[in-house]
Amino acid sequence: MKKTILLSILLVLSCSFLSHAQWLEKKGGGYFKLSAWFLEADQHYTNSGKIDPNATRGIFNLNLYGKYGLSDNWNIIAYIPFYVKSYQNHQVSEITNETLLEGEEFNSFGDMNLGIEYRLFKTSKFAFSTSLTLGIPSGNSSGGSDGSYQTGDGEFNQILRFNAGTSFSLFKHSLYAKSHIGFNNKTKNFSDEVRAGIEVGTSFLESKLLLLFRSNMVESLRNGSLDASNSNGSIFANNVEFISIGGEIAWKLTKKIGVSFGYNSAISGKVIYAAPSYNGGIFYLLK
Amino acid sequence: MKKTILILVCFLPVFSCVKTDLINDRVDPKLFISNPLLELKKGGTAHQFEVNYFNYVGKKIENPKVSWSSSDSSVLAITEDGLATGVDFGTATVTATLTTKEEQLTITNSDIVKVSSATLTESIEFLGTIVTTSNYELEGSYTLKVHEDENNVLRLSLGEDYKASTSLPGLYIYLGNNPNSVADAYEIGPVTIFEGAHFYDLPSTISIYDYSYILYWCKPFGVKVGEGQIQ
Repeated sequence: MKKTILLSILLVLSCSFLSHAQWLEKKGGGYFKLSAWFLEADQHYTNSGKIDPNATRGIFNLNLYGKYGLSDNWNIIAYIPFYVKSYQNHQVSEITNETLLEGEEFNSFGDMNLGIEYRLFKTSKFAFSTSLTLGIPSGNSSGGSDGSYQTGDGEFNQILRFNAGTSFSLFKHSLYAKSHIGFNNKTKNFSDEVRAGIEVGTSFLESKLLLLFRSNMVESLRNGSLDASNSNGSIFANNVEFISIGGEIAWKLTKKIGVSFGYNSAISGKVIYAAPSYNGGIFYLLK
Repeated sequence: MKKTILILVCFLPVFSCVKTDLINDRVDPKLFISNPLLELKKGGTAHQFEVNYFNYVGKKIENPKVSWSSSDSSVLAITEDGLATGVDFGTATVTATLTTKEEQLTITNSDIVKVSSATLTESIEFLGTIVTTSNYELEGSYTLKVHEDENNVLRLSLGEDYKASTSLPGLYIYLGNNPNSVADAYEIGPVTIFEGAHFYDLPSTISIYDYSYILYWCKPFGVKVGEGQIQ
């Protein structure tokens, strides 16, 4: 369960970061962000979608996200979690004050995502692109004393996505909307996944303040054979599903630099933490 | 700008510390006669009754202060230390009584003994059901029995009707006396069979009276998934 849920966290995380992908950067332009991401949960969605308790576990990471325009049609994307901390609280008896289970933490590099995005076509109101992201198993898939403090899933996956974006006006105010649908081809007997998401955003105060709402979903195709009966008692992640909602607020401190804070939470799911995640970061716009 | 970054960097790690979860692991204390008799020989060798006592958090307490009594001392006589002798043919109830130190609760356990021409120990087996205590599938019948024909091995057998979710990795099975904690429990091992009959042979150091719960535990998350009461 532990790794399953950890992976689902990382999955939510990657959905969140990759949602920047629909608008391509122009040649020589870029978007770079240094972020911290945090989630702590004492309950989770089970494989039947109901909520069960668990010892409080948390995960924190520091990461770099970057998107750079090789040309007007080609962008490269990287998500690098260079510090990931996975931890569990101490379990202490409230009757005797004795420690029932020692807490633990494990730190390491996390799983990276490296991708490339290509502009399919663009009209005055619509933009379409496709992207291929490679999930590099650069994290540790068996961290901690019992192997449950993973900072990666140990498998190499490939995500092919189609992205669409548009801008429109509502009550004389400009907004944008993005959506994507993708297929995640997973290895090592993990089930493949369909991923989709939408995002709506707008800006205020001469584009200094950006406000956006997003929703992502992951549906497992349940075609992977990995389960507890064939993993020799080890911990694994498979058939993770969720629908999440969230938002982000960004404030441009200068024309090139700004800060942002975000929130995401699964509103339904299977084998995923039932708790919100938070992120905060500093971004830099290369123009 | 620099100040904003500094505040952010200093503030964020505060969230990610290993903190403490408080667990309410109180249980009702339990007292068992650990070597009950079916029959005691009249005028034969005296039988030393013994008990297992598990306190308010299910911890085994060695040498508890127990008082012993017989319902009919003209049939079965028993000393304050639990040494019983068959006096005359008939039936008597032996009762162990203990008042707990911590909560001043009085708990008892009894054994009905027939005084006859031979001494017979009880051949005990516990039958019960494993039930889920979570939203993961886990169910089945069990038998806990000393197999006298196999070198007195204590065996926990799960029935054909046993079924556990394969979506629940990190599942371990324990014997314990506190359903809210496995801190003092005996870890049998990881669960590797998820359907159908199977069994676990337990070490000779474990008595059939040592534990009152079979616990299925998600070990990494420190949470109970299911249990079977041994009664």
